[in-house]
Amino acid sequence: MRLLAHNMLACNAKGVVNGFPLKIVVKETRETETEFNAEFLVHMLPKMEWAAFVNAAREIGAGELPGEIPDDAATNEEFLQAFHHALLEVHVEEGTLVCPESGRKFPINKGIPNMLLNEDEV
Amino acid sequence: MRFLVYFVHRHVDFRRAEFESVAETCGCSAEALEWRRATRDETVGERRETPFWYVDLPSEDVARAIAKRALLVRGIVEEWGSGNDDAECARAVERYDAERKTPFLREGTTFRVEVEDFGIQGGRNQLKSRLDALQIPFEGKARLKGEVDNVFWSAVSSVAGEEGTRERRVFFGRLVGRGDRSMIKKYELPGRQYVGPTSMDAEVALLMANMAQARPGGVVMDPFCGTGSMLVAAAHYGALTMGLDIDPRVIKHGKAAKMKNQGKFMMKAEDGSTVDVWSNFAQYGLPPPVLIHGDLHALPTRAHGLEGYLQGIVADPPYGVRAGGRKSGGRKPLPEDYSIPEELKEGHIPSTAPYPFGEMCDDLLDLAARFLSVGGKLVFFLPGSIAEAEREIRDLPTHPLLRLRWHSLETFNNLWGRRLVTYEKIAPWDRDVCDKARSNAVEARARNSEPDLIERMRTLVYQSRESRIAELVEEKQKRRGRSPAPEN
Repeated sequence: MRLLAHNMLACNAKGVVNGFPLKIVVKETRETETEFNAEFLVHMLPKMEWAAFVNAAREIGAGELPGEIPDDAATNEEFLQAFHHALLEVHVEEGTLVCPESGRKFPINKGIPNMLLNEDEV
Repeated sequence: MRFLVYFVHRHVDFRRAEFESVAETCGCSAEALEWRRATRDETVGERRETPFWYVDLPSEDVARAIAKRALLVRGIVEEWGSGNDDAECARAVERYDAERKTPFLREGTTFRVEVEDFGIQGGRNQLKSRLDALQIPFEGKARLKGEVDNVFWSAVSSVAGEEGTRERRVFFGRLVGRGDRSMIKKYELPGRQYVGPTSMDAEVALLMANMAQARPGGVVMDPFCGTGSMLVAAAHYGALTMGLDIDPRVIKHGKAAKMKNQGKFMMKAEDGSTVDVWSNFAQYGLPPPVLIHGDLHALPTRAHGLEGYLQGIVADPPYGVRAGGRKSGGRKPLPEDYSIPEELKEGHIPSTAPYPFGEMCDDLLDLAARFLSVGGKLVFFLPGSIAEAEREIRDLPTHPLLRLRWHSLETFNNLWGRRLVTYEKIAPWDRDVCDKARSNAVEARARNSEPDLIERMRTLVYQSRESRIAELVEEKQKRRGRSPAPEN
């Protein structure tokens, strides 16, 4: 699971009002090199929950990012590289996602978060 | 500028749809494309549409780009002349604009004439007599092999006409863009590490990626991704891919890797290694997808800010003609305050409930209406039949934020198949509009007492199977020289 996925995932179990952002408990991470595509990154920026992203990047050791998206983000190479790395190159292979409201745990195995809800949670 | 398109004679109902969708990715408005048949349609059998079509395109560069990407294009040609026989074609070539011809015939250039016939064999042997008839003043040097400056196509179409006659049409022109089907071979399932019984074959998966206009800079999602066959195709065209599946066995566990035993048989690898969706992407050197074990019906995503996230959605949903889809929830309704006892939660396997066809369609349209960017495409298969095609097309799902752009039927036999539908998102997401659309769809289904598409397909598939079995039994008994047993 990369932060690209983490930034959209939430706990939607019955009764949970705000299941975002999920806390990441990391057991194992892996880094892969991914092709840099500025157009893609600029397209994704406005769709990010930025504070959650910055925090999650810190949690999984994917680097430090500015607290606010810089005004010149689209042309700021250094910023885009850091964003690219945290968004796409660091994979959480094993670990757990934890709902901030209910504490419900979602395991991550083989890089795939198990977001399936139990029958009493839907 | 007018071009002659020569299609591959496969997936006949998909050819112009794919061409138009690819034309859009090449920056050309597909709404304006006007098609004109270049020969009459074949009147025999199911594959009846001619593969030769005229179409206007803005430039040669666009034509070349389309030919390069569209799987069902054999070639795109600047026609110099055509006619019902060689002499008529020769006169047309003679009349064709000299300024368009001479640069390609000039001394110092290299060229080759290729024969691309339809419906006849042995055309290659007639090339000399054809060229003699055309009397084209080639001044360049002919080269049979290797790279040349200009390629010309001599094409003859011969299709069944009325009352057993054959109708001939002769074309000559300059090849502008050649189709490329090499990636079908590259991605074919027999060579893939991880496949399952419902993996989409490479050609159709790539076709779907073309309908979804997968390209670099966008995210393409498959909410029933299984072994990831459609995501592989979308990733081939440069999209970042995202797969969701409810079944952990398929999306996560994978299966035992196979290896060749003494170079002959595929055996399970002895070291117990496994293959999974990741293996397929690694095999082809494609960037890994985002994989989520989850349920489209209970989407595990945050409630706000994801509108316009996806460029495309591709899906081959499990409708339940043969095997049904599943969604989260109990088999039976649970008491309101029921919860799984704490001590059993660890390792609990969530139960799933059947996922009705109508609900699945609503969920897919909702997903598209919310997550697609405006202009993004939703591409998915529905069951389809030949006899009821008109009704099925009329009844295709609708949504106020989505517009049906293309639909194409792939036939499995002379009765049924599946229909690929492509919707385009035409307006930004609006919760009220979507909620209303959904409740309207639910109400319409409740009012409708007729069997739905899936029930009708099931009847068609199983009844025809039963009648086929009966036929076989009868045939067998005839061969044995016995009359069928009398019916009770």
